[in-house]
Amino acid sequence: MSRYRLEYAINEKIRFLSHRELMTSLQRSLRRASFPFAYSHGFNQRPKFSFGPPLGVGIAGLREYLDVELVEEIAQEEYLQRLQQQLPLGIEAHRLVLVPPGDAGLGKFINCACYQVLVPDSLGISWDKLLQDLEEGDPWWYERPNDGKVFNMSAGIIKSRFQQDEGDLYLEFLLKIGPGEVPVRGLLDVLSSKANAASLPPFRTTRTGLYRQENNCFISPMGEIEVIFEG
Amino acid sequence: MNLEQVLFEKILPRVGRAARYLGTEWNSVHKDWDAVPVRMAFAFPDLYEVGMSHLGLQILYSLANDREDFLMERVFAPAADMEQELRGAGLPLFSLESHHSLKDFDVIGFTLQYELSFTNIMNMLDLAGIPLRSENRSDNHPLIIAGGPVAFNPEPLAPFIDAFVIGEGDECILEILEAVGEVKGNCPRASRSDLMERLVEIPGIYIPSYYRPEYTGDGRIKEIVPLHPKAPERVQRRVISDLDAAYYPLSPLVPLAEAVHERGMLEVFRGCTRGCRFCQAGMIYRPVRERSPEVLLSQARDIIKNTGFEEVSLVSLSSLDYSCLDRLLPPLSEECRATRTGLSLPSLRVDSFSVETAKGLPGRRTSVTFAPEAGTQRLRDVINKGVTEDDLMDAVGAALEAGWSAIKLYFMVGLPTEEREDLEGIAELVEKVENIGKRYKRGRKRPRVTVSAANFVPKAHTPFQWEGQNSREVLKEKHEFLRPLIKKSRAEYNWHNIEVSFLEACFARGDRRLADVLEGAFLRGCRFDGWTEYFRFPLWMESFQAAGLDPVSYAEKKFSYDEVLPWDIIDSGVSRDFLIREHKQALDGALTQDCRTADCGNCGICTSLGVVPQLVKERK
Ligand code: SF4
Repeated sequence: MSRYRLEYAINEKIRFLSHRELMTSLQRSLRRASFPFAYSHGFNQRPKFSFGPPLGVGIAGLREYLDVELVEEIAQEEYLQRLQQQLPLGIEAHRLVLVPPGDAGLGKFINCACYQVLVPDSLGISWDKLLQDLEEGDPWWYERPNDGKVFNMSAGIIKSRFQQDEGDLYLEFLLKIGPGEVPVRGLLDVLSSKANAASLPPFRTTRTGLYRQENNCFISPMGEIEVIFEG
Repeated sequence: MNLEQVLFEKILPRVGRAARYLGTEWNSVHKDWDAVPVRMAFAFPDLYEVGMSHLGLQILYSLANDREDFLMERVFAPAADMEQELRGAGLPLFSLESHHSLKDFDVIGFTLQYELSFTNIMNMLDLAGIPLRSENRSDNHPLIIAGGPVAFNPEPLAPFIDAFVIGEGDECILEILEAVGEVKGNCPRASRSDLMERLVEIPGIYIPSYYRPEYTGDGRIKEIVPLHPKAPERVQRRVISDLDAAYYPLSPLVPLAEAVHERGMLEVFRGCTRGCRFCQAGMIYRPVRERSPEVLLSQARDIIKNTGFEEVSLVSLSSLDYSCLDRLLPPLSEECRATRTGLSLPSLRVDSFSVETAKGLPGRRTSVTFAPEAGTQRLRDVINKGVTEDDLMDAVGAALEAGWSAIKLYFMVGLPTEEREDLEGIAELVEKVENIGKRYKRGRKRPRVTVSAANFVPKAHTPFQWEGQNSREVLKEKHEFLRPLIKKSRAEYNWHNIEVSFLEACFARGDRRLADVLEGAFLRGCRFDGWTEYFRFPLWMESFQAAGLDPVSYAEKKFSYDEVLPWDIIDSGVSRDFLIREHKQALDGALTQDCRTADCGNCGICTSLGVVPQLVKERK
């Protein structure tokens, strides 16, 4: 049994898939590419997949991950290329690596995510001030519509900052995943209402990376140490 | 911003299940719009999840797109939130692949699977900015065509559709698109009148504006008057004679948003000659034409490889009637096991053979469905359902023995000649099924038995076309009588919405005058009438009243044998004499045999359409 980790991107064209729809699409793509899946035992045998934290509907993802168990070791490059030919428009497979034995798995490993939120420049808002208020002022509350659960948005944010790049304005957030996690949809809703932009289309949002934060170090699920929120 | 940009930036972030509108499914075809001379939109008047499970769409989509000079894109009925967004933004309904406005196509083809999708057709035309009625369309508008089983009584839709396609669309879609190409030539649009003149020459095309029905003083149809020299007296259905030679899509679309059925479809055969007398499909798709096991096996391999579907399904009317199961199932099961693909049958015949067969198929087993349809042998003989109580008990026993833990039983209420004993018979059968279930308890859990009762709807082109539907009051009484009886045996009882069945009956045998009702209901806001949560009966009743028509007289109408029927213009190939004979046989409780296993019953199909039943293995 060998576990492989796939790094892939969900681009603008396909960001509206739900997590479940995405899982099905990827599973079928891997089937078409003839990946030799390992199956669970028992009544309802399923291939053994595990996905990184779900991406919200409408949000693009630059580096997303899934683990799949295979019955044998494969030629990674060859299978990556095969897979690339079988993916629906908008999903891109970037890397495929063998997961070393003893790896905790994506669910246990990942504890934070980086998001980039493109904001319109027409609002005449001091975004720096808004973020400062979010991190240091009174809590920003959000009530999730489907179950009425209330979240303190500020508590889910590890870091945030405002950036400007060639005329584009965007906010960057480092958010907790797992304990203390808040819904990204809620953060966007609250932001847009604080910015008096509720009538505008939702802010374009991209998840730019998933990490494990240990002290001040950010490790990607591919095992690389990365520098984020600097420069 | 163009339509696609507005869609992605402003609309999709705000609607539910946005994946329905992306259009980038695996195996979807995206052609260079400007490079293709003839462009058609295949319009499915229901939600994406329903339409994407439909075999006809898959066949026609691939067939048309395989031709370089044609392009076919899809459009489904937009969900309520999408409709609101489009109307709010003043945007037209669009095709999925290129996100072009529907109005830009040369042809829009609706598939008619169910009467209660009619208001969705109106809505889709309206959202596209296309006049609802043919007479108000100009050369600037696309040609609106429609086909599918419901086109066998096209009359309620007649004023809205330019041309109906009667019979198997895969037999004639290319001829239609070729005709459009010819008439269009190098112009941006084909002239409508020239196009109709050309289309009427194609067998199987019914152009409703070429006819005028005349009515008697008491509201019956006097005659259907042809208004055009080329209009045929009757329009004969198109039929494919050899399924092995017919086109079949080996790279079907794989849904992005979750569909009702997500599976590769294997069409084992077309047609069914069991001869259930209420069943329209059993009449209008005759004769039986089987595919050979070799072809099916090779298609299955390709479909699994090209889609990645986790399941393939044998989707014919009663797939276990296939004459060559012994040559198909073993290698197909092996192929499925090797590729970890499930193999399923949508419903089982009521006998233990079916269960034994289904048991051996690879894949997950949840519930098993049997359709005895009626509660007593007498009534089952009336409807020609050749099933006995022993068959059912054997089948149930075999299913439970094989490990299924949920049994679904389908019945029909309100069948012609039905009496109280027949309803009691349903309850007795269910109780016996429950009693068998007791022997298969798992711990303290008994197998679950669910009873679904549909309301009988008389359909055009069947032996029961002359019969009326029970009144709503009677149907309600019958369900109320039946429910406690079934509850006693602890089975679950579900029944179809009576008002929905009532409307279905109005339109299934309705005439052209009902078009006003349809338009009225659409304008009053009716949509998705087949979905109980959207169905608004009072609006329908208002629309009938406004049109000065009595729905009861449509649903409950008994036609006499010599009366002109609204759908007489359509020739399914089954003779009127046969249907009358079958109707009389029904009233006598006499059975008619299946021509696959007995002699020809002279239904008229083979002589009139020049086809013969095609069985891989002779079984007489
Ligand atoms: S004409 Fe005879 S053989 Fe042909 S479908 Fe009808 S009953 Fe069967």
